[in-house]
Amino acid sequence: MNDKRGSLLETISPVAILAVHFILIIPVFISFDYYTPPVFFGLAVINVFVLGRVKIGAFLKIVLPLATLPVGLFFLNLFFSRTNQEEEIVRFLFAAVSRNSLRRASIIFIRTFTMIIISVSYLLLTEPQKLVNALMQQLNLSPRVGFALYVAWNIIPQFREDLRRIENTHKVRLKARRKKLAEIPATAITLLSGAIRHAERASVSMAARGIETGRSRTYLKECPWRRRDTIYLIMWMIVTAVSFALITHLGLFTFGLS
Amino acid sequence: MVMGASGSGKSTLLFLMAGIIPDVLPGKIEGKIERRVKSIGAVLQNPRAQMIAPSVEEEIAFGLENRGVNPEEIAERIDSVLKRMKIQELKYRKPSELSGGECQKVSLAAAIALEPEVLFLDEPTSYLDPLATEDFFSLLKEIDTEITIVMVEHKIEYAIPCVERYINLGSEGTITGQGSVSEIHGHTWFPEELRQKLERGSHQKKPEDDKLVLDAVSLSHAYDERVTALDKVSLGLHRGEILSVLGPNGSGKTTLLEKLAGLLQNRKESVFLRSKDNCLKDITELTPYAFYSSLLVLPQNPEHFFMKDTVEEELTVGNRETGRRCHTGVALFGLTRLLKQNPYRLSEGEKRRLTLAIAFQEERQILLLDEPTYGLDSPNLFPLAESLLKLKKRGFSIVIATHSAELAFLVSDTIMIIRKGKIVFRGTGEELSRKDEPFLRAFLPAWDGVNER
Repeated sequence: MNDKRGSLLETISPVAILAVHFILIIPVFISFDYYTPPVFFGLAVINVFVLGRVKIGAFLKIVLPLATLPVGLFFLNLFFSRTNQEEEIVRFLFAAVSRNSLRRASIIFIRTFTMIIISVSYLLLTEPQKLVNALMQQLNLSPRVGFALYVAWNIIPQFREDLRRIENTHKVRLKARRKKLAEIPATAITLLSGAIRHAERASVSMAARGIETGRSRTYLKECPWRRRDTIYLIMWMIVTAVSFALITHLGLFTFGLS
Repeated sequence: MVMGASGSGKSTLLFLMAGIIPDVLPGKIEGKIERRVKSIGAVLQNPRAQMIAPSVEEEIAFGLENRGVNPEEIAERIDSVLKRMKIQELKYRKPSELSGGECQKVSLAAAIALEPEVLFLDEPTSYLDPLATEDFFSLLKEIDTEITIVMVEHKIEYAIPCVERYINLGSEGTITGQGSVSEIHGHTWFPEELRQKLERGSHQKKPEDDKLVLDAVSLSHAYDERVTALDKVSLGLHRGEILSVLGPNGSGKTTLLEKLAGLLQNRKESVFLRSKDNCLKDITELTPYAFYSSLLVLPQNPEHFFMKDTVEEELTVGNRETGRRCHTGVALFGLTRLLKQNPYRLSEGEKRRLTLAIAFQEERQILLLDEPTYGLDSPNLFPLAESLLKLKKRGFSIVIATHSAELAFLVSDTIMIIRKGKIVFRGTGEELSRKDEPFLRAFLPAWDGVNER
């Protein structure tokens, strides 16, 4: 999805990238103003496009469908958050809009959209398998848990295929009539029982190859924490801290979790 | 080789020998096991469930990493074992992209990379088609003679060239026989008497009005531009006929069934069904209700079919009438004592018979069976074959997509073999037996002997 050939982030630990995105999202999460989210939106964009060289098309392909959420929240807050004490500035059919509800809706839109941008940036900058590998090697995530995540990842295509087959079989069996409410859980039960069996077999397979021998494990694809990861992390901590301090110093920051 | 019927304890014995019991799977153990080996390897039954890592390379590395082997040596061993097993091209592939046969080869490679003194194989070919099974055993024959192999296997005819000694377990979990492999040469899981009885059944006269009930013309399907799953396949199915479709994994068998059932979009091709007014009609002209009232798809995994909590409720899903026909169906398929059971708790053979009983009870005259031997061991093949012949006798028309040449030979009027979406053989079992091409001979039943293929 991303063209990271030669990009700086290709050589950075997925754990460091995760930490940076976490740092970027916190100020957005605790702010309730017009200024903080755009600043961190900008920083996330620099990270993903300049340092990560992610293709804009791939980015928009994920962001645009998700953008319906902030748009929905905007209208919800615009039309339904006005209290009786607030002065009406405009009315659309049954819903009245006040200055406050417009402000609230706009801020919530900007904030949610920025959080989506930061989250999608992370998704596009890291492959899940590389993240799990890094978590096992750098944060001592138990290999049993790490490889269980791989198994879960591997099972997704099988799960999708099973769901398709179950739905087709039920369609023919029920002569194309709609399922009754009581018949719907059967699909979930069948899928779940299949997944449990798969997990049991995978667990035996892992154990048969010595996952719990207790010897110190090595990794074919080594992913140690390097100096460049520390530098990358510290650099972003500084940038975030300075930006946040500046916004606060200028009196632009408003705390709010709602 | 450890032999024995389902439930005789073969896998339990293997797991005990390998140390998987009690190290991984709990259980009360009496007696003593002394393991004088430092290193073991294991290949289990289900090819896909063994795949853990995100790529083949990492899959092979997994066991070595657990043993703390240094990364340079791991990389060397991976290349060496892939070369030895002639599967270098799989190195960077994702497990989800591999066929069942390729998965088992990777599992074997992962076990061999550990340089084991003993290799434990638990029915490694039970999910593989005949070609992949032959391939697996020829690979096994070529591996290091220094490695001791203990294997549980039903496909005796295929396994024999790799075996020196056998143990047979009885139903009580006790050893009922053991000795040199020469003693089991010619032995098969297919008792001659039963086989002949069933073959007589399959050659019974078809019902007199053996009219065409399903006619498919030039079925083609492509999942994407690169892969043609089905290429202009035509077939006709008569009343009371059993047609078996054989072929390697990925040859288009399941796609063919889905096309016949109208579950994949039809473009230029057509499927015609004999309707109640006795005319062949294009299925696109029928309502889904009318079409599916005559046809039922029984999936590879019978659990995908179930919707209710008891066998009795399952039998009434499509039909509120629980009268005589239901009871006839229950008795016919040996389910009388299981009516109150949860369908998920039935044995694999019972689950399969339940799906057939439902088809019988609902009078769906055309049955499309996808891999009905999936999860069944060889001895359980006979009850399934008997059930299918009972349906045939009552005028049901059946299409079976299967790996099991044995089932196909026991019950079919017509056998069709497809390869890469195209029909390469259509005829009777007898006609197939007379063919010389190695590809077609791979689909002869095991009782004809692997060496004769």
